[in-house]
Amino acid sequence: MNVMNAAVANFSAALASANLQDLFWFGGKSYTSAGRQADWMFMFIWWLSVAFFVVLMVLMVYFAIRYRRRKGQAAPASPGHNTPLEITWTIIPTIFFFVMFFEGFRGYINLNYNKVGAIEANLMAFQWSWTLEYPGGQITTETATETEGASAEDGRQTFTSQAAPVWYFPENTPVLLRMTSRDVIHSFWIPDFRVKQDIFPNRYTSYTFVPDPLDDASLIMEDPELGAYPYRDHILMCAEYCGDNHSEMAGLIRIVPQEIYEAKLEIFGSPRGTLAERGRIVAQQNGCFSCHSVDGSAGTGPTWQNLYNTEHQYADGSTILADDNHIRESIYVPAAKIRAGYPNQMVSYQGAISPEQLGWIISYMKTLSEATPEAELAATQVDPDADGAEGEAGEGADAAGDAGASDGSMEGTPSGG
Amino acid sequence: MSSLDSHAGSAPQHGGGHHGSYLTSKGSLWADIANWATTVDHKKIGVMYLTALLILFFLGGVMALAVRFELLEPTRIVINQAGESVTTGQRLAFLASDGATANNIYNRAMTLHGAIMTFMFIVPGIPASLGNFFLPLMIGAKDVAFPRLNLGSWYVYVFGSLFALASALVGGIDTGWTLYTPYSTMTDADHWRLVAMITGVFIMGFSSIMTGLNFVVTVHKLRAPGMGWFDMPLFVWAIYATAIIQVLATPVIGITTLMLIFERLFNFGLFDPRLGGDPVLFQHFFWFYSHPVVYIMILPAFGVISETITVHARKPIFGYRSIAFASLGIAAVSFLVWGHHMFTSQGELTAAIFSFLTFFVAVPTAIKVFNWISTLYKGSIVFNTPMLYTLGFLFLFTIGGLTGLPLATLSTDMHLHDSYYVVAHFHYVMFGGTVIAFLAGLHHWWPKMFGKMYAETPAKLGFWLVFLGFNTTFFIQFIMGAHGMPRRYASYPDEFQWMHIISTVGSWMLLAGFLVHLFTFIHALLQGKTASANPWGGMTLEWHADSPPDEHNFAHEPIVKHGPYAYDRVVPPHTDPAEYPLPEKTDLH
Repeated sequence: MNVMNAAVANFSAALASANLQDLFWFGGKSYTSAGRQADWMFMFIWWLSVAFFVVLMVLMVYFAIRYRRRKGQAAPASPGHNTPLEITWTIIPTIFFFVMFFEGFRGYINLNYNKVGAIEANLMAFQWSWTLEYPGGQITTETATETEGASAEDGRQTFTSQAAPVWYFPENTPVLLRMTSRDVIHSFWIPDFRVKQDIFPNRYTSYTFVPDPLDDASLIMEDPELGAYPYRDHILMCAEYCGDNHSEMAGLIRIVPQEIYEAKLEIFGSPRGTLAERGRIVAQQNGCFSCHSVDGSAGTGPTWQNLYNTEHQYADGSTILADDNHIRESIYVPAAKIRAGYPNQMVSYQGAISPEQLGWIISYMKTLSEATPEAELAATQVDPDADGAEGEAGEGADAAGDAGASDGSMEGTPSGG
Repeated sequence: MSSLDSHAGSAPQHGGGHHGSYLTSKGSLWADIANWATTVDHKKIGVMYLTALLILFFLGGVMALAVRFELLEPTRIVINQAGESVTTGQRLAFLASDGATANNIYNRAMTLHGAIMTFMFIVPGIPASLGNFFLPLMIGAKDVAFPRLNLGSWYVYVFGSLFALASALVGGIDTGWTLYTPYSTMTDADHWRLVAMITGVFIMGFSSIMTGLNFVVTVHKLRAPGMGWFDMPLFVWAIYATAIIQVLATPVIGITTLMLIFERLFNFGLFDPRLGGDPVLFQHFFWFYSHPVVYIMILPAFGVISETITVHARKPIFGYRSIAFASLGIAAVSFLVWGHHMFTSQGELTAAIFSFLTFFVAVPTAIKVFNWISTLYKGSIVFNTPMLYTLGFLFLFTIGGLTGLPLATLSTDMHLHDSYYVVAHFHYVMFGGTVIAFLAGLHHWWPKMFGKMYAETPAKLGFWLVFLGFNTTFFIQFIMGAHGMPRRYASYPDEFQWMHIISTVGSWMLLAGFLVHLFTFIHALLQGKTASANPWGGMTLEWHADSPPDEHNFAHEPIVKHGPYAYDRVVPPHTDPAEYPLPEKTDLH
């Protein structure tokens, strides 16, 4: 969940400067004009409520003290009702309620109106992550771990098993997300934009926003490829309870200048890297890491560390070697064999992960395992020192090197931290 | 003095053994158990309901404490000195057994807290315990209209609760109390726990319908001679309005749970999109019951407050008829606003219609608060525990009501829906409203129910702990929600931690407050001073009966000659006129 730390920096800043007004203001600063309209509405209701509350409580406390019981002294007679007063206090709230309804409806239309000329992207939600396809078919390859993990201030905290995707959008441009779900109901919420929308498995819903320009953005990204550019991060979360890792179903919307957005799409659109690197990206895009860790820690599903080419205990008591075909079966027909101690919870990824992509994932898993065939071979031939053995096995060494690099970024492990 | 055909001469008012009291032992322990288990006395059934409810409230409370305990710290993966990654902050992880993750344990605790507190505690709550005990007494009847049905409803309730708790014992469910499909049709696919829980809810529905039906008939047919509709105490009005909702709305949850059971067991395809069903249909069904049920929870609380505020301020209620009609009005409108739970899951037009209708519930609710505060005007207000709880109710319920306005308003609900803001709002209504009123009523009627006074000083201490603990726990959650903390999260961004810590500390204060109350109640039963028939100088008929009441309530059928709150005209029976003098006559009424 620490992915969110950078994103809610506004909030921390408010706290750090002890700016209490920001704290009690409706959810900090809003970054869309429709969001600010909703904030205005909230503050209108808020101050009206405060006024009503203060009047009522002052009266209550005043009456309670002024008319406290004195022994032997009767309560003075007073009217049991007062029609003009009662009509007044019926009509006044009713008028305010009408105002709230109409203004609220107007704001609601502004928040949800599907803007013409928007960037239309498709969003697929699933337990417990999301995939977003840009109009050109690109899918982000960045996760918040890569970008935020290393910058965690004390260098100690990293992620839970979840790796949150980072989605780039240009400043001041309407965006329309066409959303649906692969399994249960989810809800898409960007608190900074003040809107959430439920996502259903059997229909499309949409989410619209126009992010503010980056005029006042204080954060500058130093990108080795694209140079320095201003950006702003907005956290998004699942707001409809969806099971075990509901609380880790997060993501980041990164607002950048138009040319950076285009450059990023260019990068996302061109397949690059080794098979293992691609496998890691495909696994991340499909939300594998919300259940499976790569560092040996426990999750809803078994960890991928040392999974490949190793024997494991299964629920029916058997022991099976996790070879290529076993991994294929576990991804396409997950209920066929259940690892001992784990629930039968995984859905089939047949259709979601292509056979080509599956091969990449297997390549990636191989880099996470010490028990590669190359290592075994080396161990029988030369010297039982695993490091040395891997160093000698040409292809294996490459894969292991890749694993080292991507591992570090996955976990956001601070180097030397 | 009394306007009743009183039995004042026939029974001792102070002490003297209560040989005719409903609590009188039948001799041996077994005879007593047999007597209570087969009783058709509404008072005993009320006490039996009260006992069961308090046990379930305790269980639900333990779950709440577990939830708050887990949320003291977010889940973190920390690199330790040795360079290994270690997961910290999963405080409930020690409960996780084979196949369950720490998040899963949190989700189960959160679900059980919600399911126990709503279905098993707060829905039956005040009507089944205080309502059962006092409705017949307040209308001058010997019992409810169908005493055996009344006993049956208790057994059905206990049976249903055991079903649901059995599900909890074998691991519980993790769907949230709202049971939204298709999550509830997919989770724990090879387990029967979910079916057991829903079956429990289904069974408890019958208990609710039986009680509601019983009360409607009782109010219509068994009022004492001379008691017209507008001579009824407002508690009776509130219970009556509640009973109507119980009879009309509960069958819907029965149907819904049955459909969900069939969906789970036989794959009917009603709600599961994989079978062509529609998950939103379930939400409509669910809230068509579960919104009116909010008023099943809160209307009896309104009734209790209308009693305690008049008795302890010695004032006729301000605007009797508008409070009575507001109860019925709320009951009617409550059936038309279920869609406001679903603003983010339906079309714009539907959302607009439901938003509009929702404001119509707000109007009568606001009127009630104005009426109660006006009742205090020129009163003779005593600060005992029931009155403190009454004032506490007005404070908390007003916050609960006002914070509901941004949730009824569409543009602001888009942000606040399913956040901690909502959690804070409904706890201010359900806990700050119903539970606080329940405690007001429990202290108010305790002397009548058990013939013993509770000790005022520790009870007041209990009030302050509960009141301050409640605000500490929940007020901060409004701010958390507005800043983006979603509900039902086992972990959260670090920034929220200090607020979660405040909230959790508040939950411990609440625990301390309830322990103090438990102590005062047990102390009262064992060593409490004997209560007189009318320790507060109340005007309604239950104060004409002995404390504790005679087995048949009244020695003679009472005849009503004045309204329930005629403090300005009549000195209540069995009271000291020096302590409760009559005001000078004026021509104001």
